[in-house]
Amino acid sequence: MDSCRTMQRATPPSTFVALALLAVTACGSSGGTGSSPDAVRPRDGGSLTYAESQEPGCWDPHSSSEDSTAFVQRPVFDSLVHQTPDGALEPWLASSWRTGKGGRAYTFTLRRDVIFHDGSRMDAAAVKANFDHITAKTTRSQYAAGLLGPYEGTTVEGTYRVTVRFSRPFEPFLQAASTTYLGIASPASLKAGQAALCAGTGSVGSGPFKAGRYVRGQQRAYARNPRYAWPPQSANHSGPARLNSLTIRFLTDDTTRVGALTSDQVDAVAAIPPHQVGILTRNAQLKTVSKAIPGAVNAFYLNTRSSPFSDPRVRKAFQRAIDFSTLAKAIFQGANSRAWSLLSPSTPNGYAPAEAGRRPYDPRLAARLLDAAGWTGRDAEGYRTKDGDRLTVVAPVYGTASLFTQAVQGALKRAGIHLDVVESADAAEVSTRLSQGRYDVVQTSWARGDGDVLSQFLLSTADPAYGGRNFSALSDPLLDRWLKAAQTARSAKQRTLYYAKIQERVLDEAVAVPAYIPTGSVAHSTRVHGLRLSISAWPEFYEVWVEDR
Amino acid sequence: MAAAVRLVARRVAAAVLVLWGAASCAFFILQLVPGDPVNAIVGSDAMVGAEQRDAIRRQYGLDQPLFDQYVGYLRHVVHGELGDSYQLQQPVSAVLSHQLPPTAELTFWTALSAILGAVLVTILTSGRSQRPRRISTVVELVIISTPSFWLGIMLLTVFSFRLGWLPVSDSGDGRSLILPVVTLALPMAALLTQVMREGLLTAMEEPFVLSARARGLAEHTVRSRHALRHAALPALTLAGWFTGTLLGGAVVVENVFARPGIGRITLQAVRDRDLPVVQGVVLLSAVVFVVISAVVETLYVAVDPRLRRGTGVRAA
Repeated sequence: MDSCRTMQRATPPSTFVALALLAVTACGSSGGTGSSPDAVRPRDGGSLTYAESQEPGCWDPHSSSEDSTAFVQRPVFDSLVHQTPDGALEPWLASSWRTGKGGRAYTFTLRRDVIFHDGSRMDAAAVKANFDHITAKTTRSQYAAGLLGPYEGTTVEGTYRVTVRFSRPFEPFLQAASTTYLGIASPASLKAGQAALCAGTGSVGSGPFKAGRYVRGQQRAYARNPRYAWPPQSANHSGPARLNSLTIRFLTDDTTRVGALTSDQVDAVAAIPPHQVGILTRNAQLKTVSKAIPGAVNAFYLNTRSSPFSDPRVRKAFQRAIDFSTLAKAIFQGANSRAWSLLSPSTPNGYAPAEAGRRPYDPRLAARLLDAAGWTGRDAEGYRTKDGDRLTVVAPVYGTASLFTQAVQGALKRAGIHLDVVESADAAEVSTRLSQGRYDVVQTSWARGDGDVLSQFLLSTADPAYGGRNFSALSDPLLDRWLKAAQTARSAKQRTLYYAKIQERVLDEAVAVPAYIPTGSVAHSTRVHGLRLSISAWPEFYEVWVEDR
Repeated sequence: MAAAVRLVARRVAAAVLVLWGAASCAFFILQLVPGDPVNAIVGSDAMVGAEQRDAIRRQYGLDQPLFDQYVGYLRHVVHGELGDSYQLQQPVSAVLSHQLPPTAELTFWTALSAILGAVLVTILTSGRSQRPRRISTVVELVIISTPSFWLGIMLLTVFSFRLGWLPVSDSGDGRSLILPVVTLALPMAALLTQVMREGLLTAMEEPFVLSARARGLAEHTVRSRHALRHAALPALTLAGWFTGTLLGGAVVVENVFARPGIGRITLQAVRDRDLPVVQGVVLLSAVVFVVISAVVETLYVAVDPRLRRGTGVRAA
């Protein structure tokens, strides 16, 4: 599943004012969230061309679950709340909010000066129309509706006051409201129907850029919104965007994309292949920014209901048999580092630093555990056997196994475990296999700027048959209780504490084995200034300006 | 006149048969792939409950017997409805009609330059002197054996990344067509040249060449006006087949040069098991091949006067 479209990144937005701002460690090769202070004075005008590797299928963020959709629509759609690159939540379209009914209702007071690109005004009715659209059956929401959790409904309280209600306290909602998936579109545009919204030609929001011409397979143009005057507080700029226009081109081929940057045909590119990072970093005409992607790191989820992994000793052997530190260094060449816990260090309310360094590579321990579990025999290829059966674990993979997965396969072979990678180019075949539980291990990651991402993976109700990601097939009442408690807890400190306890338990039981921390990186020309990476490690264009060629 | 009508009717009937066969194959073969089609519709990441899954199953008629689904599908196709793409959530006809023009543009220029290039090289290298022919044969073999993605990347590296003469990908600039066209046309021209030169050299040994020379015609006229016609028929068949496959989407080249087109759409549709799109592409390819074979057969008659007697097209 490594290459599947599972790398969801919830795009970032904003701050829960009452909460303490959480400083989140950004890690990555050149670290940090933005450019160093620029000596040259910012200028207005100019254009920027950015090359992206993935093109969205459906462009409606309310419907699509693709992280690329959230990214390409971020310049067009603002959200109620904004999450800063550090993970703090702050006002955006909503100037303030308060919770009521013991955390079951969020009442937003909206800004009064926000105008959509079609000239209509953003008000409470518009916000309600958006939530109605997200939860409508015809929208077939793949992700946004799921982000709303125990959602009940939205009530217009006044022209600029709106309340979103839940059946139980649901703390992750504010962060969810900051993502592009819950971005606020002009109500008139939502009436165009799913075909038009998914086509990406009828996107009307209130963002700093208006959606321009889109040619599938080629590029989308954006034009500056001259009326823009409602950026989030933390922006280092006010008023309309500095760039006149922006173009996102879809260059899926790695060589083409990097070549386009080095030959100065585009100004910035994403998704740099690890072996190219070094070359680009040394290029004096270029600058590279990178940042750990928040959310669930790339990890192996072990199916506790399958025969070898129902035995905790075999799971622990798997956990200790792989030298992730060495593998990550060799394969990613510094671009991604190994993970010790399930949540990435850049995850607000979620990182568990105490896990770092615990449960390290220990091949002898792994061997002892497998011996104790009865896997004492060896077959001709060196794999362990029990009663003549080989110790085989099946890992379904969409597309082809990554280099990293192949390296893990090699490491496991040395421990006598046969990782049987079943590749399929057909997404539906893989998801059917997952929904039927016909696997032993799933490797995946999922980006989100909140620790609640763990609910998707660990809640007993997150059944893969219905789009959940409980690949370990857990039904642990204690984990369920803690996950729910973390959704309800009113302080960030308390939530962090719960997520730390949850991760410790999961790692002690070895039901999930963290592999590496995915890192988002963008390389750009030195003429480009003010490009910072959002909380989810995607570039933000609002503050960007370019020098003349 | 009646004979002509009968001929056209027979052609149309054959075309319909081909389209029906293609549609049926696409339908049944795609049923054989394991996995639940609802997963393909909602997407692998979707958090969608059992109840809504059943609703989707009913909405798409997936709960009906296979035969009923097949009949329903054919009925829609007859009415020109190709359905909605699962993943793009747009009508397949709209998706294909947006992606067809760039593919057609690429195909047209590729076919034109490959055919012109092949004719030119054939005439230049089929003289009495052996050396140009030997050199050309080696070059042709190298080009034919080069994978097109590699050729594309090499051309990009030299002409776009290093020299900066041509744009890396399609951004609306006409020059962006040059590299993809060259990438596709080179192997096609090389193969056509080999086939045509073989035919030309055989034709040059025929007695009519001797009589043409005896009439005092210049060597190049003998080759290009008389002998070439004999060599052209198999090359024409080959060129038609090439053109058909190009219209079905040049996946690799579209990816490397980041061009919109049928190929990219098809690749994604196959990966996502977006059945309506895959079926639409199969039908489109069938139509393209029917049209091209009709065009090629007409061209046979234009090229070879021996085929003009009577009304039937006898060669093929």
